[in-house]
Amino acid sequence: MLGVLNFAHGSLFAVGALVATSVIGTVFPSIPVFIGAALVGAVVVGVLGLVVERTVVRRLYRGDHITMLLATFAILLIVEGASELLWGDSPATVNQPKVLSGNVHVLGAALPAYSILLVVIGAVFAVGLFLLLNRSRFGRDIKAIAQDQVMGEAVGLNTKRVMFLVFGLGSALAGLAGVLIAPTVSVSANLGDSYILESFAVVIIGGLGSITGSLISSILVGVTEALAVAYFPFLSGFTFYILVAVVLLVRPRGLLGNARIGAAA
Amino acid sequence: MTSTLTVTGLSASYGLASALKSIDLRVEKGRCVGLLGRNGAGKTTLLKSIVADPEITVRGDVAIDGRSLRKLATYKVARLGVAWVPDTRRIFTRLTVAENLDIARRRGVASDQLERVLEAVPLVRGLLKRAGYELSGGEQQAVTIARALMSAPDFLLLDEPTEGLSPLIVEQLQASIARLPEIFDLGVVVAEQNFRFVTDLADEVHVLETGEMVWSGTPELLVSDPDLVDRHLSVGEK
Ligand SMILES: Nc1ncnc2c1ncn2[C@@H]1O[C@H](COP(=O)(O)OP(=O)(O)O)[C@@H](O)[C@H]1O
Ligand SMILES: [Mg+2]
Repeated sequence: MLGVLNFAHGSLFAVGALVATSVIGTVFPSIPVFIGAALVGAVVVGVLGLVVERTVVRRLYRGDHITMLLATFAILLIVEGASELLWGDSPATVNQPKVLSGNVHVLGAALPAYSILLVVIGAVFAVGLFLLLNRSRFGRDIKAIAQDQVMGEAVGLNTKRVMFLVFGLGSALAGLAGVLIAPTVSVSANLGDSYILESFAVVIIGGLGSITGSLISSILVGVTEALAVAYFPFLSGFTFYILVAVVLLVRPRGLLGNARIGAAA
Repeated sequence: MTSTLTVTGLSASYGLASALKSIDLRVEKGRCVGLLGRNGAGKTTLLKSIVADPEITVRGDVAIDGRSLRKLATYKVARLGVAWVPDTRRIFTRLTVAENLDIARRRGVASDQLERVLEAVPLVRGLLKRAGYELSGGEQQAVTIARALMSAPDFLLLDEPTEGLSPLIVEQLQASIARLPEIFDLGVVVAEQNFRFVTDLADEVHVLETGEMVWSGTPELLVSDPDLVDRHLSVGEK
């Protein structure tokens, strides 16, 4: 949204999961403990994100995308290394709250309750972000700055502050996601690595800077992968590479990438 | 009470490319100062230097009532009362017109500012619900001026406001701008290639040529000196 392609979120995501291992330990958490872990994860990772923004990312907004990618990749390596020192390099597991470990029957299919919860939380946050962006002053400022930072400053917006807060918010959400995903995976410092490629694929297919594009693309990527797993198992894990290639061949800007700005300029 | 914007010995460059040399300028509240000059003379650069556009490196000083703006971030200059209408308008296309206006209203600006601005730039009233990307050139220009006024600025910098507008619209625009210094008690700087527009509006005119101020005086003096006009302003600027 603000021209930041960010690899570092992968490691921030992992820190969220690692925080969950510390807060929850090896027991089956109660719901309040689990929510507490989610909040701690969001706050710890949010603050970490603010530090990363202030020390590194802030200096690079004016640089090109490649510099930003390399720098955030370096941050990824540093945070992963530091996490390994703090949490060790053996994978840990986190239990989900017992009440959520059963299955729920939806239209005759048995689905894990926890997965359904993740989908619901994801939807809630998607709606929340949409409202933040389109119904709040903060969102209005973000949209203005995303289009024209200097003009934003010229109407009196402290754009550095807005970008700082956006980065912190994005990091906090990554931390929260890390906690939520922790019970479903084996948690280690490099947990983010496998997700980062997928999220990049989603963002690139959706079009840089377009949140709607990302939403559509995430569904597209998910459904394609699921179909591949069902019908062409040998393609599983490759579908998003294929999708990226196809979409970029047909629409180099991605599905919805900044088309409107370009048309109006 | 802020009353005077002063530019002293200002030189400006884009990286290594120098664009302005030792410019002096003084703008008082309630007055309109015109900047004339050919394409590339440095008008835009001068206005950008005043608003502290980060693209430009400046030497010399810009100050309001002795308070230097030189080292300030762009947004701080804006908050100290300098509003800018850039040559390409730069409407926030993803926001509505109402949001484009509201975004510029700073804390402390009276809540009736919107009403005052809509009275001064009436065209904008009917556009409030429209999206920024739906506007025609003339509408964009009106919205950008209205946006600049929303911060209740002490100084308003207009960069080629007539560019790309039809003669009829230019006439309306001129009438609107002429009233601004008095209604809002602000100083206006208007950079233009449109000779008539500036000489009609301004109390005082400066002519720029290749980054230097080559003439300053009243519009009457300038109009009465065809030689001067021929020398410094290209043909077709009558
Ligand atoms: N972004 C830029 N980078 C480098 N040089 C520039 C840039 N913008 C303008 N210039 C140069 O600065 C000089 C003054 O330009 P400008 O201030 O735009 O003139 P004007 O507004 O009077 O047409 C010109 O020589 C122009 O080529
Ligand atoms: Mg210009």
